[in-house]
Amino acid sequence: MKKKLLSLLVAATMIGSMAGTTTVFAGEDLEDVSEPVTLSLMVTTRPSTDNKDFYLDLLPELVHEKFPNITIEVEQLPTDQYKQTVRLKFASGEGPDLFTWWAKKQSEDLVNAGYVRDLSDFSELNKFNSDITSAYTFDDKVYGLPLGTSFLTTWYNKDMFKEVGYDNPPTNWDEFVDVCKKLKEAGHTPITCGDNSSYVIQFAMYQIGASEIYAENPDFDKQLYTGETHFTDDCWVDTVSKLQYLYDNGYVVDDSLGLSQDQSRQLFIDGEAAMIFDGSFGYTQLTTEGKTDFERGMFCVPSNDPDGKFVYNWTSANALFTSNNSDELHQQACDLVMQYWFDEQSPLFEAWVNNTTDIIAFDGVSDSRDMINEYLDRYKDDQSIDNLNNAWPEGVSDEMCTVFQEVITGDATAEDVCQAMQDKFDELAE
Amino acid sequence: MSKKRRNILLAFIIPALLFYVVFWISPVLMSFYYGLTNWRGMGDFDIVGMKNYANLIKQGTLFNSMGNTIKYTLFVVIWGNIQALALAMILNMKLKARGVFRTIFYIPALFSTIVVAFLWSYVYAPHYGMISEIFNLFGSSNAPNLLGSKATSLFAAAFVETWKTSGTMTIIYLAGLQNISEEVIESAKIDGCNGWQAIRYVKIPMLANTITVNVMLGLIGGFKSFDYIFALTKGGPGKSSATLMYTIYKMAFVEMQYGKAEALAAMAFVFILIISVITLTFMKRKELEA
Amino acid sequence: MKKKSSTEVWVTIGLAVFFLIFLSPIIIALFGSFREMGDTSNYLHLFHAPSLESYKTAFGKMSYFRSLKNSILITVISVILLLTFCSMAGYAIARLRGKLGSFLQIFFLAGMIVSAQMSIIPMYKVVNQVGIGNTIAAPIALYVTAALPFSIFLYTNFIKSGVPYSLEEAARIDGASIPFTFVRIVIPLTKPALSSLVITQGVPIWNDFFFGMLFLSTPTKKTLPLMMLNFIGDMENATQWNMLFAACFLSAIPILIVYSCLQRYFVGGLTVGAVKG
Repeated sequence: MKKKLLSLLVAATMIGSMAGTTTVFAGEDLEDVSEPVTLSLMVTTRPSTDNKDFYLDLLPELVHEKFPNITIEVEQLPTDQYKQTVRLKFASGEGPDLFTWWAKKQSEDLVNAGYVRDLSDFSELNKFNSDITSAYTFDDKVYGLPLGTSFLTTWYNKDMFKEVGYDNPPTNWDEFVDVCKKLKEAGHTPITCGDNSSYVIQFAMYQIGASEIYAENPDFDKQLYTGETHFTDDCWVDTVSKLQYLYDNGYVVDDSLGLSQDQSRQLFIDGEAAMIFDGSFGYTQLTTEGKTDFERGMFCVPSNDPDGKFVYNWTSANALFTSNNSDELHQQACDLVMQYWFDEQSPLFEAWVNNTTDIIAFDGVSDSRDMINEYLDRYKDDQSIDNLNNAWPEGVSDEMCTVFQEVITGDATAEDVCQAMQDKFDELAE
Repeated sequence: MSKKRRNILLAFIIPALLFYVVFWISPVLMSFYYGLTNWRGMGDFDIVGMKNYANLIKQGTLFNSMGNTIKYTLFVVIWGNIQALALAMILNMKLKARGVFRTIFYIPALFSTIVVAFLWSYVYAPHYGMISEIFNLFGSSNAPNLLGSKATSLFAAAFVETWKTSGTMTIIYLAGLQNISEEVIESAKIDGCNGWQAIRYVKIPMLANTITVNVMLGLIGGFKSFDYIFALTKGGPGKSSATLMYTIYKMAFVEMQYGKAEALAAMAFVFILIISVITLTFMKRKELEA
Repeated sequence: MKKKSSTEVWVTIGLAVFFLIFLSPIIIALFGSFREMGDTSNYLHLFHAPSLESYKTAFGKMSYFRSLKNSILITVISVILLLTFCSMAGYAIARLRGKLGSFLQIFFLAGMIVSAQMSIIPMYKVVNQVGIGNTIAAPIALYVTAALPFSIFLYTNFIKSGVPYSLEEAARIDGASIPFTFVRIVIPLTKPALSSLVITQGVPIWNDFFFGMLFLSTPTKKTLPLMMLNFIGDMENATQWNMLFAACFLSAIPILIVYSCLQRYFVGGLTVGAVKG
């Protein structure tokens, strides 16, 4: 996926190279580290069929070219295994020198335990979108360099929507339910969900929750910690009930609990279902041609009333962190790598921009995917909210998905989901 | 036995014992200690005594995951052994194509668990999974949703476990069958045993030792079940297939309640130990009777 | 005579059909591996647009020969150490009289119920304290240790039921030392047990990624299953299934070859050593 740099950036680059000055974070303008050093870098797996993978191939090669003394060893693991391994390494004092991690509450533990280094003085920091950087700021110190953003969204089959009279995506809950109803009457499966991969439930829940919970009270999550709000409040019960409504009325594919997310995506691109709850990160897979050819679109589930306020999801994807445990030489090498990586003139920066699947939140860089730009432009005047779980202790979202599966099987109610979330929250937030 | 002889034998045990104590027993003892703390897997922690244990019992986590583990294990032990014994007996027949069959029966064991798990997620998938397609061939769209139903998801995962371990269990039975000489069977036949009787009253008692090995193997494999639950059901739907090891993993590395997870691990350890000892004693007694 | 051969035909056909069904998931994966990389349409259509693309890409991305070398090295060393340790300990436990012998047997057996998942953080710490973190010694040590309880159990059992003590007694009267008796008499008699350990314990070691994932972060030390992890997706990125299948067969081929060459010995050859006491 190619991203193009704005012409503005090209101009800036030229001025930059003429002036030839870059402020150096490590304190001195180093050509390279004084002796050979090997940095460990850990990232989550992004299976690609490209010839050269950014993290596995390009990054180590380009860095070694620029700094012959620095060798980067990259380890890539799927998310679940990744989380376990990184935590394990830090717990026994062997954390990786550079690694990526997720926003807010998810990185708080690492910060509190003193495992990651304060990057507030990093020279290129002001080039990152400050809204996004704030997701990695604790006690006014920035610990992570945001590698981009993503959003949860509903991908839909424009052809099927047109067939039932919707040339534009629905803008409120009534319209949304109406589309589902008409699609079903027309013989289509309105929505496919890969609920066997239980995390998928978050994709739907957070879209519904965005307007339902945060339109009235943007500080809902903060107040969870002070006890002013609870998961058992009406707004949450309504959120869960709305999602349950879709299942109860047969708008979601049968047997969704047996489908994995990969299989569910296949149903969508094969034209077997009109909608799928997914994200901007599903772009490559969901735009792949399946059994039938149709036009794709995206919208955020509008759970608002016709005259109510609409809120959509947009979140920081993840960020680059550096370990606090490594010695001075390693830290120096990390600094050099980061400066090189986020220097707009470097080939490394260009390789990063061209290869990432996230929406880069960096001055002067825009996404090359029209569908994504159009989407963000459509909602630019609306309020947005982070992925909801970024504000909760890890484990609450998992409890939500687990109990909601029981709602699907008919063994639990929306209230049960909310109560279970509140119980888990109380247990984990102490 | 002379003292010198005894000492040499003891020296024989040292290398294994050293590895075993350093890499296996000491971490387990350390985990029991963490079970008394509120450690989150990182940072500082306090000792909280038996609080983790009390919570696990109070919240019902212990009983739910233990119940699932017992169901899973029973399935693996019973079905796994029936399947492997039958396969071994057939593969022990004097067939011309025996060599080929004896090579391919072990194939499932040669593949890694991740891939096996995916293959089966495809087999089980509704709509265009293998089972579903076969139902379609016969004009029925009512294929069971094995992974998506609370009643079956646990057993669907357990079935994959027996499929994957069938090779190993069968090989052990085959080895046992080789030790039964042809003459014994022939003489049983001369004594008037039919085929089934020869199996029931001659072969099975002579395999008693082998059956013990395989029952223990299934038992412990079942108790430690993690991979297929992790890959196929993630403990769901709901918590209907959350086994002990999966629950421990989730508690430790998703919810970051490492101390609590280790308390559950300690209870699991004692529970599995007791069941294993009882089973082993029972099997050994049966062996003697046979 | 005639009746017998017709039964054989039927049994053979029955078995062939059974294995076709039994192995169908693998057959489907095999055909899947011969597809183009992005082709995830119905896998029951076995011959859909065949291509070698997935193999080519997987081969390159796995750094096949380097990873193969690592896999062989780690598996062979682990299995050799395991056989040495477990046969020595198993023999000693079988021949030790009194309480100590049975205590040790139970002590080792108890280790079988430990799952690495259960106490992985302390295990990780111990490995680092011993000073073998991020070397191939770390997974090797854990593979050997993890396999010891079952192997010792199996081996002790085998000696007790399959190796007559009278033979050793005779050797002892002839003046043979214990190590001599062990190497010359016990080991040859226990070949069946040892060979089934090679297969039953060696294959899981070959396929394991858990210990490797935790202890081998240097790319040049990674084994085949670890390289396969690069093809597995997560909640955001889709798994590259066809490439994963190809990788999976590439990684299983060496062991499939070894197994089919040795299968006669592993199973058929078991009778050779079976001197029933």
